[in-house]
Amino acid sequence: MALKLLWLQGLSCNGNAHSFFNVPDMAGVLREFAFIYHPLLPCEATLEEVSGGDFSPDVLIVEGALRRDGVPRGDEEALTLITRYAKRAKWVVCAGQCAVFGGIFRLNEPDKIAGALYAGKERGGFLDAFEKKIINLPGCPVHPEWLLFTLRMLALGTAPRLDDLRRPVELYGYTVHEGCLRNEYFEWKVDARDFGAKEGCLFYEQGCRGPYTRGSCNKILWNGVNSKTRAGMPCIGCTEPDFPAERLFETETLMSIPARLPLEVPKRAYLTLTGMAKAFRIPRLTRRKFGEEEP
Amino acid sequence: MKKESRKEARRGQIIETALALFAQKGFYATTIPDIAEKTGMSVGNLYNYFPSKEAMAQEIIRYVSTMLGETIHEINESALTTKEKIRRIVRFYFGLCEERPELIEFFLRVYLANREVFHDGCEGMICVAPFMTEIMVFFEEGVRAGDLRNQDFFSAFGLFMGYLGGMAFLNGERILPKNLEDYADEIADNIYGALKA
Amino acid sequence: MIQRLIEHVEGEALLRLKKDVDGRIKRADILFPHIRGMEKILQRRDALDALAFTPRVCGICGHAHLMATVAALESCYKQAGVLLEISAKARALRRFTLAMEMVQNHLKWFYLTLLPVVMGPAYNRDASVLSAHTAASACGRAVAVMGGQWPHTSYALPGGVMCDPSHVERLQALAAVEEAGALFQKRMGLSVDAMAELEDPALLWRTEGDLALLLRRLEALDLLEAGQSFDRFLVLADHTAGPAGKSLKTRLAAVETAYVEEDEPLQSAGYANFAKPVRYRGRFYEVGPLARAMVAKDPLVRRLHRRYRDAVSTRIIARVKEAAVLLCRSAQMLRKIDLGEPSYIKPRHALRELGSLKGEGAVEAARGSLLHRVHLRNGRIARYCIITPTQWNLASATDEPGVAATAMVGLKDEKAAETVFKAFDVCSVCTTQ
Repeated sequence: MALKLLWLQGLSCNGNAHSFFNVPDMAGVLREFAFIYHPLLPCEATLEEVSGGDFSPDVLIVEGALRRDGVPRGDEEALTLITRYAKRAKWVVCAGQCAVFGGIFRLNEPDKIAGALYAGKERGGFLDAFEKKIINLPGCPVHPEWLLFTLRMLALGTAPRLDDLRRPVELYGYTVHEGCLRNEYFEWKVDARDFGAKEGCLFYEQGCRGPYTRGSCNKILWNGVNSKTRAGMPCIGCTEPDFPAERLFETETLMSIPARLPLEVPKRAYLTLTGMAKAFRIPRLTRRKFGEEEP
Repeated sequence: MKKESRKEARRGQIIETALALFAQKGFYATTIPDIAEKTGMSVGNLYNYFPSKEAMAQEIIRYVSTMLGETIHEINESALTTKEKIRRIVRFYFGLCEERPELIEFFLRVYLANREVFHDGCEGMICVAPFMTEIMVFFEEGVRAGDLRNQDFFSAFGLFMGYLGGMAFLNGERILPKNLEDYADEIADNIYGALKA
Repeated sequence: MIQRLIEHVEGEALLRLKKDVDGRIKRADILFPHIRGMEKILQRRDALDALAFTPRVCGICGHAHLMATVAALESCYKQAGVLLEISAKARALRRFTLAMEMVQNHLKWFYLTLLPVVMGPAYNRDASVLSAHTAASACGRAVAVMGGQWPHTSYALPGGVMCDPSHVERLQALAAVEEAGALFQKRMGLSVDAMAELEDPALLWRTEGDLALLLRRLEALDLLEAGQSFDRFLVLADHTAGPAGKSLKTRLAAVETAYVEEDEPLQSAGYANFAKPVRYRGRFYEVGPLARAMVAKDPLVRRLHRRYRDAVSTRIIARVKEAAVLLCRSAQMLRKIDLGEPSYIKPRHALRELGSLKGEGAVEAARGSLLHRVHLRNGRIARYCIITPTQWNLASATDEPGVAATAMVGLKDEKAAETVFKAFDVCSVCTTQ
């Protein structure tokens, strides 16, 4: 029988719902899952019916940041509604940065707005009581295929293995850096001199957070074709608890040394290797890819 | 003594000799036979240890850099303030100038003056990586602690090491009226004053 | 009074309807109870961070917010007297990705919002979802080819764009446009080229396709002429399919964004509402595809307008036609781009070097004119103001009903009201941010 899904929203831009709508296999989604409620898709019930009713979802999907009050959904507060169904559901999947950590909207009232388990980096979310049921899928927005993977695992009756932030390890065990087409430029420390070039690494100047941001953006591509860093946009760290950081489009440096280094890379190892790499000029990496002229 | 360690000791001996000669006469004026003679071995045997004069010079700079790096590493790892760390680094450097002037002479007169010798295998900062890494760590942590002003690495590095190198040069030319070590604290304070946040 | 929660409209809206003695709608209050505070969140942030923040106002038209931020920051440079060079390629890429977002919006709106409300149970739900999905994911892919992902890329910035497409990416993007166009032709019964060229409304009713089906159903429900409002149209920015301007009925005039003013939200007892109404020289105007078609003197829409004025049928057809026009023009635009031009030309100064600056950026988004106003101090945001298309169309003032509220007056029942309301392409998240 199709897994029964209930998709409810807190403070949200709808971006996760729209992101999910880009799954490659919508026919499969319609076949495999039954939506009690979803903000875009046709579904069994209206929000008013959900709010007044007592449906039994297998999976509650939460989109958006949470606040105790001031977020009416139907006839109830969003948090009341979400808590009520979190009790009934077998699993609670937090889809996107806002539901997991509070996200951008949390900045409006950092002491009143939070995610399900976390308020930014700290514990102190609104759904602590359901911790064991919660699967976190941070990202702004959630990657459609990460969410679909999680739902399909649950449909098979197996929860994906989770890390200490309750994120599936098979999705968040990678850094965004892994699989980026600019990796060779990183290895040989060839900076992108500016935006707008397919050559050069965005870590040194343009603020790319890929080497210390978890997520498989460059393994499971976005919209099936690309990723931000491949296109030329620095990773802004949207899966991390500290999102959004300050000054997203420049690299913070201390005496020219990036203030944050690739995940778990010791400073001395980094400095030694980059010092070595910088000593060599690899002609191929200093030319435009398709031409002889300097980038 | 095992054969391996005997060979290692011999290598060290060659390096020390070459270092003294390079520092004294310069890289080009020093010949392989000079080094062999001073070490008390045949030219042919010396080639068993080093394929060329360039290889010896590169080995020496790696040796100097490692020694400097190890000491700065200890200073970096200590609980001292940034200001105090600068004093330690300056004192150490000046002490070295007095105790082992050939090291500093080699650095200034051979490594910096004959870059072509270090092209193949010592590109960029490769042979001085142990020293460079620790000096970068020093600067980075000074900024992180809020003690040093954030700026381009080489602007700060040039001010620090250029100053010390200049003083070592003046000392080597016997121009300084006082002992180099007597200048250490004042110079350290000047460096701190120029770099502090 | 009747209260009705309107769902599946990028969040929800509450309709409060008062009826007269004949049961016809006398007054309609439209209430949006959420606010996330984006304008406040942006305060004191670095100016360029707005590139990442404002797209998060809205999950379906966030790309338009990115473009409005870019335009606002570029106008700050202009105010400072710093000449920015933007390559024709960068301008075309921005227009291309924005147009793709608009198309995905229009086709999602048609299949996920409009068909269900107009057709009731008399349509194939799954086929409808799959049509929306094919079109929307093709358009999203076209944006992603250039911007890395959709939704929520921030690949444009003052000075150009961050991507550097080769012919490979151009052909990938063109294939995505083709795929969306093929879906359009399959479901609507005529090609995007034919639709873009179409002038005679009668041909629309004669095609076999989802639009004709919907129009015939509207006709049966006697709703073709429903939903007339002020008959005033506003387009604040030039766009892929036409120029800026305003149209009072069919009389055209130029526009100045300086005349755009926000007012306080309509107060309605016992229910919060954060939708600030917005007026141009003190008057309400409709924005969106119908407004753009009227200002661009689109022959098909002008002919429909002669018959139905600014009714729901004109509004719907204008939007579906715009999807076709955008697909045609975008493909042409993409083919013409000189890929050898620079993507990005770095501004000679950083914004933080330029002191106190005011800027403004208007773009045409899926639902109409979007305006961002920004005040910077040494590169930080002192004030950020976002005026969205749905504020124009959906918000009322306490003393005066707005465009959509006026369009609902005189309708025979709540179902008709919901149809007229949803035909505006409601977006709750944008209306209040």
